[in-house]
Amino acid sequence: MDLDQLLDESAPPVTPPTPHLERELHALVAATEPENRRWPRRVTVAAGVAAGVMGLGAAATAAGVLPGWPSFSTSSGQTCTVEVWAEELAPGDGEPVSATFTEAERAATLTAARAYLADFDYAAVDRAQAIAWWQDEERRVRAAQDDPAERQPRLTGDDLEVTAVSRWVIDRLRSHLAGQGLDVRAVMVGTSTTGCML
Amino acid sequence: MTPRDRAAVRDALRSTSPDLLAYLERRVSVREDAADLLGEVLLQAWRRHTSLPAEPTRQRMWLFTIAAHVLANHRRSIRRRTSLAERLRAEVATTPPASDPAERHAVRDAVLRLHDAQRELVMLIHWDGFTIVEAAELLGLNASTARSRYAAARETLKRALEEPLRQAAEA
Repeated sequence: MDLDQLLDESAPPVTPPTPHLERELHALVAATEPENRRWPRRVTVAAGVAAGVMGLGAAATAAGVLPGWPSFSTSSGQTCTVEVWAEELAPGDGEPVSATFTEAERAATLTAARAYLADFDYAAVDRAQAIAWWQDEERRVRAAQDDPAERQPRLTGDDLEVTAVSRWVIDRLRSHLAGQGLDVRAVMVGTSTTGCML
Repeated sequence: MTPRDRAAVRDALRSTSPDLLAYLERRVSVREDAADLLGEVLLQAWRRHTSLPAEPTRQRMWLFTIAAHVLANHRRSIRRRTSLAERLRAEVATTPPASDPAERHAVRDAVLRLHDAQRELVMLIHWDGFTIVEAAELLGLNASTARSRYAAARETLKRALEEPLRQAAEA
């Protein structure tokens, strides 16, 4: 037996591959999919505004993803990269929406949304104001959830901070589009963060 | 995320997750922790899905790079346990590992006694099945540095394993 073979065979034993393990792994993959995680769906404020939730979106430098917030330091000292982006609305994305949009409306909304986000001055966001605004919304959502056991948890700490600010940006985007006669629900808007634990 | 993007991420995660789990299991002191870490790797992969390469080999490298970062974070801090991974954690905890003949222990001990910079290289190549170039990429090394480190590691191992190698040859 040569050294290579000895080394190859020296690996510590691991959980053997079984059909059951494979099912569990597939279940875990499915459970981690953004659309299957629980609370993003519940806090979504409008159809088409996808899980606008920090920590659960895409990290983003690919085409179609807007440059956003290159660096965001939370009060606890973590530094994250935070971005708000807009994409075409694909079938199955976002919340169910009763309104329908023509292709031209979707295209115009996407162009306007991307232009707005590209120029957005993130540094101008009043963090305390954004948090207060978010907590009002959170209270309203929680109040509508009758079963305390099923009620979404209140956000705290860094999670609260980055979520509140990103949702604030999306809300400004919504207002901006409405001012132009456009509806944010015609596009997919989301937020992403990388580099920190929430 | 479009349905096509979602399917691409899902396929990459499904095909690589068994190897990711094994990679993590071999590097944590409490085996079940690998399930939590895998959950974190999957969450990060979904979060960064726009960076997923198109080519399967690159997808695998991309996922292992994420896993290496998650593992590094795990070593720096106590992990929070994710509820998503609870079932897999139980599966890992209750399934006995594959057999582990005693003769492998001496070899493994020799690997684990290597200098840090050499040890992970040997583990990636011989335990996880990466080529030396892929292992170098995961470790952030250029290929020539990795080759010289690997050669040095092999020399160290040969010396440490002289007796087991002789016995194996006689057998």
